[in-house]
Amino acid sequence: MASIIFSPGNERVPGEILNNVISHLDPAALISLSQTSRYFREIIRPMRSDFLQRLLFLELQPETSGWNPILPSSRIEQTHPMFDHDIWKTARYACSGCLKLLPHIMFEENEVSDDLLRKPFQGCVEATKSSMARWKPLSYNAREDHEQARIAQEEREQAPFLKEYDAHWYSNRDDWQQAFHYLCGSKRASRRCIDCKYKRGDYIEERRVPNLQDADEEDPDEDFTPYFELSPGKELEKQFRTHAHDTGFGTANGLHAGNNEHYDYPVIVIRPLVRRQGRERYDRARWDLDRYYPGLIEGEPVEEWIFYATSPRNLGYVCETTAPQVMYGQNLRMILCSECRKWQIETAFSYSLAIAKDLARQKGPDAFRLYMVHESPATFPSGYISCNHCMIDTRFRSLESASEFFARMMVLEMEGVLAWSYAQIKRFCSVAINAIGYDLWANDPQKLLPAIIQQEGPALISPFTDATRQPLSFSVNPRDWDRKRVPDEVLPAWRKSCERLGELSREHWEIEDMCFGTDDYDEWSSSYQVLENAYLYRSKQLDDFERRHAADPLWVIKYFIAQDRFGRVPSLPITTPTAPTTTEE
Amino acid sequence: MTSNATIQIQNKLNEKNESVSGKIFTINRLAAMQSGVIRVMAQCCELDEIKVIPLHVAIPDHTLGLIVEWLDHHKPATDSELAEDTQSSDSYKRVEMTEWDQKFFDDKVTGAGSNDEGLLRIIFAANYLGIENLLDMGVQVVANMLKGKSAEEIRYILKIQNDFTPEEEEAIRAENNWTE
Repeated sequence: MASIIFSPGNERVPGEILNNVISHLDPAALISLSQTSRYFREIIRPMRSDFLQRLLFLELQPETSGWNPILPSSRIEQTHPMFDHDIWKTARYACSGCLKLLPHIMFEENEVSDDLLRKPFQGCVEATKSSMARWKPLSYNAREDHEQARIAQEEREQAPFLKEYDAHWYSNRDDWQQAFHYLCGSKRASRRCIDCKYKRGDYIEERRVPNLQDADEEDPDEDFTPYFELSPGKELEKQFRTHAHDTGFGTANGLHAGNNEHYDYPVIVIRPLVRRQGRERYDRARWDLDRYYPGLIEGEPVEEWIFYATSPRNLGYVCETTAPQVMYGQNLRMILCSECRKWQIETAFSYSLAIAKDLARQKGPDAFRLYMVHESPATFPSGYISCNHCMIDTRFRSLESASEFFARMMVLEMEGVLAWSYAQIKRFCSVAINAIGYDLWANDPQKLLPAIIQQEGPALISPFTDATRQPLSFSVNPRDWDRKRVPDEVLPAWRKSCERLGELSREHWEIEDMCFGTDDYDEWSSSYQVLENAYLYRSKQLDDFERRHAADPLWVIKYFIAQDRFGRVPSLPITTPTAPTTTEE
Repeated sequence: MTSNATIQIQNKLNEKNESVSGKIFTINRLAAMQSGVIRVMAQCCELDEIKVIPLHVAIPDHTLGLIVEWLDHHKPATDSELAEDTQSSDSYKRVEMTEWDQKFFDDKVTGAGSNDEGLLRIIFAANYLGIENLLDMGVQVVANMLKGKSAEEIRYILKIQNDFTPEEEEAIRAENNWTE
């Protein structure tokens, strides 16, 4: 390393040369130099804007993923990596509120993907500007004035580009490209993380309390609203109800709002994903377990492209979007741990979420509660959401016992999903019975079914009527993993009926026009097949899980510990770097 | 006057310092006019009348030789080009360093064979002679040496003594707490 004699205070170095050197520094080196000695501290006198500029400079360095992940212009329909892609692991973004570099999950989607707020691309105007410090050899107050003047000047310069950008956002013409080149990332100095926004009260005004008392199971869209909406100014978008969105799933952390809840421990929905548009509601869905425990269960996702001519609706999904510009492909939620006070992605709270879910349902002592009382009666959580780290550290005797508990919890979760899956089939069949029955016995001479269907009809629906009268019970016993499944003979009988309905539909295509309750029996048949496949797939996954746990008793706990994959971000008071205490010039 | 005309610069003699010998350097006129000091002298009187321009500050011969070399390399082709180059009103403008410039600084100014103060001498001399582009490049080199460096590393490079109190050190540590 070259070394030169450049001693501060050395009278041989004229002030104008020092000023010249300082004005050539990049924002990070400027701050570093100001931290070398009182002499340079006095010369540079860093301001808050200098610290912010340092962050904006650092977020473009290779250590923070540099310019990547490259987010194309939202006008260009290219998919950028989804939020849980490994490429995001080292990505950091500057928050102008707390002056920290934070992982992308600490920001609302638009804060990292909007053209004006995102990281600029290499070579654009903002990238060039950010490579040099904006320091000037002026007094502290004069620098503040200069900074204000600079901002005003930039706004004036940006105005015509913004006009072009807004006017032709849908096109790729040269003028727009030039505007994009000028504006990309130009507003990132105003980017704020969800912690700062939460503390600032941004989410309180938008908060809406769902009506938990009168939520209609059949049509939850009418009553259910998400607890926070992160698109201020926009009308609240409704969501599909997910497993966690169950009306019974409320906690004192405000995970779901209710009369007695408070909002000290928020859950922030980064992206209310599912929009009420066209068929997006029926997009390929994922099992809840894939959401809460991603990657834990091996196997291919269930194929669940379900067409319904009419009801029933298949509820309880977490849906993925097909919109190419959306980074958070499913509802991403960040939770503030009530114990360590660190924001983490919701999968890092799987243990707490599972307990809270069952507690909130208030169905009396349940397996989790019994088990936890046995495990650690004094520290049983009272409804607050704590991360897996805190839970494991404070509530288990050893990793082995924690692993055993988590494995049991998972099995119970999976059985719950199995039960839900079975309930979907039952609901499907019960509606089918009504619809087909209406066709059969409508006694409408204009809508008479072909004779063969009238003849076979009663036999076809009898398996449904018989089986749906039999409730399926799952025993939830923490000591014994014994459980019940759908009786072996039920599904084959249902399948046979549905397949026959499909055959009849294909043979008598005119049925579609004749029937009142169903548009197409064939579609019913294929939908049934999808639901049954889902059930069988989940059943197989449960078996696989148990086998794997038996082979490696610590496998589950290792998984849970690793679920904070994008870091644990503490929620601390906003700190403002102090200005030098030396006297004003 | 043709673009091939030359002038002579005489370094100031310093009898106590052997490296400042009063040596005379011959340089192309247009190249020399990149220096604000020489330009002013030329405007004040007919350059033809001054056969040798004396410098009033002692610059080590080696440093002045390097400056002459740099001036010669960056010689404007015409008077109008020279006027364009020297009409910048921004005292903090940034000059693009070419590969030659980079090699010049790496090999001859800060590289082997040059003492630690070589770069500083070039900067001082460029500042005195009013060679803005050279001065700008010199400070760019210094700035580049500091890029990506922590305060501690910069102290080492610039030989700066840490005179902060423990309380001030603590405050500075808080400033650097920018990761989660």
